[in-house]
Amino acid sequence: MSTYAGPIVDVDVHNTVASPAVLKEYLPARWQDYVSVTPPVPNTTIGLGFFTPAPPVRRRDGGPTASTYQHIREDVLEAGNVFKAILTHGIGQYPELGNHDFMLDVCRAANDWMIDTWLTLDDRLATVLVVPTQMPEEAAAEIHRLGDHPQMVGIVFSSNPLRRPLGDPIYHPIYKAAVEHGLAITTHVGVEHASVIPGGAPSSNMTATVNFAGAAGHHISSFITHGVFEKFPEAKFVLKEYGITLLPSLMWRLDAEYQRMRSESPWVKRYPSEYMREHVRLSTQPIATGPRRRDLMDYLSVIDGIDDMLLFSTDYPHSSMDDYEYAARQLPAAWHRKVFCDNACASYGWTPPPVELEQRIERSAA
Amino acid sequence: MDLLQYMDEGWRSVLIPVGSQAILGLRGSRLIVDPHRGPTALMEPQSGMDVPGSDYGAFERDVLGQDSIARVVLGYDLGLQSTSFAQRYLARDIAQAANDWTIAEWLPRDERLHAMMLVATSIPQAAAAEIRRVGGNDRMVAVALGCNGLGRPFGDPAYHPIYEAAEELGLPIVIQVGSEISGDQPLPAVAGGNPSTYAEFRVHAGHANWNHVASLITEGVFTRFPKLKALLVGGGAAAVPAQLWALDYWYKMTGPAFPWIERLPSEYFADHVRVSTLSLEKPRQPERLAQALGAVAGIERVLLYTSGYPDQEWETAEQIAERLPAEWHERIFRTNADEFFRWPGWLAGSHHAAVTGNSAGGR
Repeated sequence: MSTYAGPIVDVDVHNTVASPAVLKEYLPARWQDYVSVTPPVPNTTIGLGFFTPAPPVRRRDGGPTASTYQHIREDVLEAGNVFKAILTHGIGQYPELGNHDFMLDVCRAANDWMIDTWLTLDDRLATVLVVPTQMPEEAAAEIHRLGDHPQMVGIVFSSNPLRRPLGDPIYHPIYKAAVEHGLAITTHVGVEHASVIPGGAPSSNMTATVNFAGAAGHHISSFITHGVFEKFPEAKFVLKEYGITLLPSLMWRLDAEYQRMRSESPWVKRYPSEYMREHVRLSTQPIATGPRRRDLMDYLSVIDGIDDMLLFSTDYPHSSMDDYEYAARQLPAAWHRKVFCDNACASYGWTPPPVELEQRIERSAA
Repeated sequence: MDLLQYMDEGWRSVLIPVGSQAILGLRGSRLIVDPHRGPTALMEPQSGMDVPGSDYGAFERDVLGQDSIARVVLGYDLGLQSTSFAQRYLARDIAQAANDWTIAEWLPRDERLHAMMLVATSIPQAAAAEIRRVGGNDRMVAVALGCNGLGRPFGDPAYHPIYEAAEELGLPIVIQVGSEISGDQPLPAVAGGNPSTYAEFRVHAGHANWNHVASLITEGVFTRFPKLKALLVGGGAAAVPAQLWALDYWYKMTGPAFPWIERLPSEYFADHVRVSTLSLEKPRQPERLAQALGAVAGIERVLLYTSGYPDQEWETAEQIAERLPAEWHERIFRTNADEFFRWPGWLAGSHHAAVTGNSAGGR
């Protein structure tokens, strides 16, 4: 059983508004009455009504869990040796709002709220921009407006109103802007609306959830077949909360199609798995394993270099979150420093903390 | 068109002007490629004899001609998409005609031949009636579900009459990838939205099958019909460990939502579900395939050889055997199929009464 005491980057922490009224303050005057009938926080996520993959862990103080800095500080930043934590809204599905003008202003409000009330409090916090994904030019404008904030490290798709796989050319203006500002392109569970699940809409949150990884795989394939990584060689594609076991099957099946891509997608110059090793990163939570101790490693280790593709995440505050100890037990000690810290630092352009810090903590722990 | 002979006068007057595409389900298919020829062959009108798999001589040479082939199960092809037709009565009658055509024109040619029966899932009661009509032929050894005609995952209670009939007659169900490409099917062909390229479809076509498995298990199909078995065809097998672990993980997280489930999803899977070798992965380091599959204990009991003929990627048993450990071969190429299909002789045995006696309960 392995433990890990080194520095931690948690790439998927959800902070949330205490109530829809919080965003109201950041909206233009013309929406002030409007929000009384149309709350700026969409209350359906993938249109299934039942969708709560894992309700938040409970706290009895200070409003909804993860709605205050104190919650994040106590439960995340001080629960481990956290070097950086990336706030991923909760989960930021504002683009799903039907009124486009309103939706644009809500996205802007959510980003302003994030900078104003969170990033200023702690330089360990970083975040991702919510962008109006169904209006790519407007999304690019929002990226240009805020993309140079030093704690802004990515953009996030947590909903996908156009229902197109994410490599689709319709989205390329967004990726162009993201790359210009050095922002990672992120997708988070939630873009998989029920209408894009083949075989029919799932009837429970469990069956919806087990379908997400398949959709995530298609988003990766779509990035490759549409040549996103050739067109934008600096692009990083980070997928959050899909688990990590989707990789072996996906990489093999994509590589097997390489010859077919010569005619369909001639801009694909290398094996798809090579693009993935360079550009694609997955957050670790949830780590689902088989019953035997060795099952997970037997499975993951068929892909050379898979340990370079994984970024630790808790998914705080959801009850399905993985804590540091759990993740450390599931993954081999030789992967820990990379997965808990260095891979994320490389993806987000941070200088990893010095080794001494790690040693000091290990000593004090001992 | 062969099939029209097995349909009534009314349909013949309607369908002959439309031609074979209506019956094959090709018309309106959203992928502009023929799975048998790949992306270079755009769809075009096909004459009856031009349809891959329709030439018995070629089939005899390619499949039956292999010395090792002891038994064959015919499973239809693009006709599987007919079950999604908006004209449900056409779908129902095509399924009946297809079954009669198979029994009359294919099965007599070689005693090694067996077949799945096609049923129109859009009218579950009609599908159940068709199972009972054709299920008395003991060379019809399984039920091919084809497209999910109601646009709902296959565990949906609306489909349960089909499973009741199948279980009663000892017939397993078969779920095949590709049914989602039908133009009459409102669902995307693969997860995340419709693909732009055929490569994406090939990579992700198996996903729908996993949605169906999650649905079959969580909707209690295997608790309600404890003798029912299901075969997933065409999505490869390397994702099996990941899918089973995800099912168990999320079941443990949300289990109380399914009081009719008594065991872990992976346990139902082990007892009831088999995965075909069609589209089995081909990693560039072939030995790693067994390593990945072996992450699930007993995986050799799950996999079942299917050639996929005449899919352009169909494989002989020898080709599949080359990338699987020798100690798995007996199970994958023989025993698992022996245990899965309802082979001739079952109907004459005492199983029938026993199964009907057990089919109550569940959900």
